[in-house]
Amino acid sequence: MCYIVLVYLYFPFAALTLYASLERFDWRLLHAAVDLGATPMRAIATTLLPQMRLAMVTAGIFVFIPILGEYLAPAAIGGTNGVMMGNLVANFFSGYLLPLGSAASVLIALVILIVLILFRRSLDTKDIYG
Amino acid sequence: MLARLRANQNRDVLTSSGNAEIGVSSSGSAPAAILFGVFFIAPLCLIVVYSFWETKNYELVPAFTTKNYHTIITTSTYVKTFAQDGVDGVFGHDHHAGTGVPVLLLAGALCAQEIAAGAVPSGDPAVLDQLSAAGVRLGGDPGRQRRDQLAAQGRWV
Repeated sequence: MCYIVLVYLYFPFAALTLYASLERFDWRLLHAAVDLGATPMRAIATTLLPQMRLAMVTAGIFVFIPILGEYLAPAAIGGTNGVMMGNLVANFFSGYLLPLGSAASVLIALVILIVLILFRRSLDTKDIYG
Repeated sequence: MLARLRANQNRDVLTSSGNAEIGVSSSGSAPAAILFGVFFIAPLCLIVVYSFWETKNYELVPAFTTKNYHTIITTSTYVKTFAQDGVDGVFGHDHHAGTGVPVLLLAGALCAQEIAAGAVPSGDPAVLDQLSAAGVRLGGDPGRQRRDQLAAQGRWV
């Protein structure tokens, strides 16, 4: 249940990022690929997806990072199974276990840092914008 | 008005020798630096420092201990919570597809693309193992390269 709410909450972030990229896409490329004999799926995979790569990675990161620290949605409707890392940190801090909460926060930050490092090549805009 | 703004901008660029190239004066970036430092860098440093301290009778005691990290990594409840975010996110709760499946697919596609583009040495045995396990064959596959080479020489039948 919690995940449905998270999808509902963060859908606009992903949709807007992807929309900005889709708006600039030259749809004639797709028609040209199909004209040249590509199947619809192959046309999408060879023309649309490569140009959408940066937007997809950005959307993924835009959504993934806030969800990792999500507190309100799991607290409101998560129940016993829906405790996420944000709630864990909040519980530590409200229980005055500041060092434990800090350690959990640092671990979350490390996970985010690792994700950003893994995707740094994909976010490199030099090959797109020169 | 616009002309005056431009004149001010030019003067700033000219007077700030260090940042002249990017056209940002040192005085112009100071508020941002202060805001960034006070509301992001300082709390971040505080949290990192606190994570190595310890509590005794609900009081913070300055010390250097990795006990907090050890507790979080070894206590099953915390590990489950950490893993649940990742595992449920990827595989879903109660066998329903999670939000992470598209992300994983995306990551896989990107990796394959990067490997195909030569980002990862295709001769690396570990990479080849992973690719063969995933049923992916690449142009950079040494076996295929050798076969093409032999075919070009007419020695591949």
